[in-house]
Amino acid sequence: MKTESLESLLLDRALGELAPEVEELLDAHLERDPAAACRAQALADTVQCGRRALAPRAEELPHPIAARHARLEWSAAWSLLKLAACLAIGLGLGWWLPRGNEQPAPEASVAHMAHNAGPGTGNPEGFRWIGKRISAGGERQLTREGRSQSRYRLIWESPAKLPRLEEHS
Amino acid sequence: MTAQPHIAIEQLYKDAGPALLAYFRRQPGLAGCAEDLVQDTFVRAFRSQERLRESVSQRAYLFGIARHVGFDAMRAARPAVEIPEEEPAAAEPAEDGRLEAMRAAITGLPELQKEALMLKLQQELSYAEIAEVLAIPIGTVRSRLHAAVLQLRQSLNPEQTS
Repeated sequence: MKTESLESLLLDRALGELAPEVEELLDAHLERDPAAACRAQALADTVQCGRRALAPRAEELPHPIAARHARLEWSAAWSLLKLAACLAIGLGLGWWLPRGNEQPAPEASVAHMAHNAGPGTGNPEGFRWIGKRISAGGERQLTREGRSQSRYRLIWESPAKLPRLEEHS
Repeated sequence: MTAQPHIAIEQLYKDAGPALLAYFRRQPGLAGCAEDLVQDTFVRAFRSQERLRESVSQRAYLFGIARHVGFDAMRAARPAVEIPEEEPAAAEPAEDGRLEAMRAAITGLPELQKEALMLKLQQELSYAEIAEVLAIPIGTVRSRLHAAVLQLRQSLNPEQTS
């Protein structure tokens, strides 16, 4: 076997790119050629070392969804804490303030307050962070009006949730 | 019209999401917006679902898109915002000094070789998948990786020549 061919095969072997049957033949050859076996081991060690050198930081990374969940949960808890603190301060001040110059609230103000306190507009799932990303899918279909529209649409309401495909009704 | 099976997007996101996040986080200048770039990658991928379905591997196709998303992000004018680089993880004291030497050697590789090597060793992509990601022939991927491994071997063991 030519040296260049052998070297290429050894590199492919180290990189895990040899077909099993070829690797079997090469292993048989290496048993009869100690120098080539030594070279094969050296190349495999180099690749393995490279893999180890590059691997750790990637393994340490959390799953993006889990990380986002953790961040959002902490953010929601912090917001609730701030709200509770504001309420406590407000109640405390209301209790301590002198009541001498209190005047009855005009009746209209109750209605005004009720008007202002409309239904909440917050996200029912409790996330402040909302990035709504909707992308048209690749497949197209004709609507009743004869317009072309994608068969599926990608719905990704938040990175804290998994994206999903929805078929147009 | 025959309905083609749509891509299992949830599974694909679970499988490739962390690897893509790691891919972006390891690129200087992109670490701070890595999560956004992962989203962009998936959004772009699902705009062309048919190509994704027909690709050699969906994982490789996603990395190919991620590469372009990364280029676009680099090209986009965001110089005003200084993205804080994450503190590199402190090396464990008992860590093999050879690994440090290897990291230095990898950093010193030519960009094209380094890119192929990282896709191979970090993402465990095959020659064919790397070829799809980089849009180059498989033979070129093979020769780049061979050259990279030989260069690393040479750097770590300068006294040993082939």
